[in-house]
Amino acid sequence: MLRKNYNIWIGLGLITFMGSLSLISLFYTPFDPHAMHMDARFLKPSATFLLGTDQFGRDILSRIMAGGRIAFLISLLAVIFGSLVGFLLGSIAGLGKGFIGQIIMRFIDGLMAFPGILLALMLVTILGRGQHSVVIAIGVFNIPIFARLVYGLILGNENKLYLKAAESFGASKIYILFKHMVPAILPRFMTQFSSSVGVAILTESSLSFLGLGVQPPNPSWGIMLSEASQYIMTNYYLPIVPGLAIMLTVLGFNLLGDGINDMLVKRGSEL
Amino acid sequence: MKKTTIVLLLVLALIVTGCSKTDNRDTDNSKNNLQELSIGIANDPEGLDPHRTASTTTFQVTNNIYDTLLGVDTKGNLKPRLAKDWHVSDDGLTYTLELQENVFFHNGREMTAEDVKFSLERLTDDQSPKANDYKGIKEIRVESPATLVIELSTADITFPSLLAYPWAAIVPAEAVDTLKNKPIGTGPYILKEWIPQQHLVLEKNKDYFLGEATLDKVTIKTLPVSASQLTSLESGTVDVIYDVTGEMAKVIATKEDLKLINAPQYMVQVLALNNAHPALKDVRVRQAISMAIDKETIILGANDGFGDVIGSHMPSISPYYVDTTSVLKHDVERAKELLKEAGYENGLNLKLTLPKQYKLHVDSGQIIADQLSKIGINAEIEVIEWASWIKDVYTERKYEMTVVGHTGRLDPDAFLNRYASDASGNYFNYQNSHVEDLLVQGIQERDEAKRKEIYKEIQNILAEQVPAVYLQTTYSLMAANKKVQNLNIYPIDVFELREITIE
Repeated sequence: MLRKNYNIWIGLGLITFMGSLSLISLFYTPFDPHAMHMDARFLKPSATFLLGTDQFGRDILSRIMAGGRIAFLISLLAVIFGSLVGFLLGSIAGLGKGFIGQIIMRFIDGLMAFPGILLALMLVTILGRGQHSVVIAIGVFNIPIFARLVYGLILGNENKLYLKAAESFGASKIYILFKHMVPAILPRFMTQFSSSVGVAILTESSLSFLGLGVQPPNPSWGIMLSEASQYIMTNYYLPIVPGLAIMLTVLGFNLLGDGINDMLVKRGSEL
Repeated sequence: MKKTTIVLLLVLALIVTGCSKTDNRDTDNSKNNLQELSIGIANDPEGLDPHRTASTTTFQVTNNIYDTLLGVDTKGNLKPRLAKDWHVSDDGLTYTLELQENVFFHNGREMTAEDVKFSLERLTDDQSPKANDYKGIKEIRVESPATLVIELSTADITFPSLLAYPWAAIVPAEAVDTLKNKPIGTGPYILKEWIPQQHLVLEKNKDYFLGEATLDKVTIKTLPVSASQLTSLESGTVDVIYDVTGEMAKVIATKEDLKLINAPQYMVQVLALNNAHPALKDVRVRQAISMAIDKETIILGANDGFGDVIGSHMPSISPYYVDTTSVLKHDVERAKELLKEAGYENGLNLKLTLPKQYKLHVDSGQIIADQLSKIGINAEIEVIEWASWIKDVYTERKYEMTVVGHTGRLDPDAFLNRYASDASGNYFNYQNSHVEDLLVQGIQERDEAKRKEIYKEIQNILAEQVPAVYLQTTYSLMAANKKVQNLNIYPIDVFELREITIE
């Protein structure tokens, strides 16, 4: 079945491609991503500068690679943080029920009511600019998504016979959570995780585009896009590269998420 | 899959918006004999009351509706406008102004010295953003309907130049409550229509006391995005655009029916250093920073070459300008040595705060950070909003380095008086009692040659002591259709629509 699931393969392919570019940048970039070459501004792609140069003569390929590293790092950290906290809150609310569960879920509903980017903007304004704030901001807006997901899945599964059976044998809530709930939740959790990373990359780019995220001269795809958009009249080529980088990566994570979902739905129907 | 589609569309939309053309040409211009002109500006005026705004775009419009007592020519020299003559007493404390007679407001009433007194008092009241500049005025007296006497509390040779700025406009007392939306002045143009965020229509004042304008009607359109300004100019929707960037200039140069108008501005772009900072207190560190910076590269990289290199705090076109560019020449090796002497051979971390709204300063800052890294100074960039810049950097002086421009003033004192220790504009925290003495002499010296010497000495001191690194005087860039003639650039950011003609 997996072989016909094109989404998952295209998604994985895109992520591997962009991810390895970013990984390689840890050891090697064609040029220093910060180095300016004033005599080589606005160059089109050539043998020396594979993707051309920007308004300060910096190598665009090197900046895309280094920017990818920042985008992946921030997004993964943020989603790991958001999903762990979300999982914790969701499972406490789902298993604990009662008063505490109600309080947690109403709080989550409150967070949910904010549009994600607005919440992130607000948090960055409070916490100050920079990469740490962006991680926290994106993480926080992922908390309600995961908390709701885990809470819903726990409620949906708790009446299953095998759980009733485990309970009647006197299994503790913690035991049930990790032995029975986690495996049941995991597939849907991974789907959400994948598309959340995609959204996180988009959010990081948006915040940096608005000047609230990563600070120049650090390469971030959002900053590159924002700077390039100023030169769109004379160098239409310039914004295309960071635009494509963002698009391909986000597309990759969304396809992967869809792919995992398709796979699970099919497997579910076969069972 | 829905998200994927949205992402795709967004990226496409971003690419396409910059390329779209406006096709609603104004075709009726040539059908009648009326001389009409259409101008594109970036920001909508925030109200047309000259005593209640600090916005440059607003003054660019109001300067054509109202008159000031004195005018300036393109070189910054003062010339008569509503005042046909002015004298100063021997002690430098009393100015007597002879006013033009038979000047009428747009509402038909004759302008008198009472209106001038009223206007200047309104300019200095507590609701006026420019009041602080005029705090030297002690008393204004009307001697006759055409004679006005202004008493100053201390002698100030720079006072007449204060009467030439567009905010020192003369308004009729009876109309001040509605000036914001219904401006009434004595100027060459009368406001006909104003639809905020869209356009503003001016018609010529046929009874203008200096002779009526050539253009019958001027439409000023608000075009906030620079890409749309350029396409509007190319398609003929507007004939003139201000606020042209170096990038746009390149495109304009390739178009046959368009021309570029540029001239140096009365502007000084600086890398300001906080002289109270433990490392920046040391003059050797400041000199090292100055020598590490290659100003030509900044002008090229941040401003596409449209700027003059300077060495001190004076615009290159000022008659008081002294060439100090050779005092601390670009020399990376010497800069490293100086830094070593000061005890920072292992490097130095400094914050570089940049105002987000000003692309010129943000870009310059990035190039500076790159250049400073070559002598071991790690400049950590922080880009902040203009409002926070004013508060944190300028007012509270909580910063280490910043890039900003000082603009739009005529007299050398207006540029340099911020170097007095207690000046509110001394955000450099610079202390030098000799400079302070020279500044006091400067505003009292009436002999032009001696005055030039005083300001020359101050400029030399600043060039050597580097309270700030003086980067460039930028050019003012405008673009127009080739048929537009006599479009002049003035040092104080005003436009004289009256002079413009169409071939």
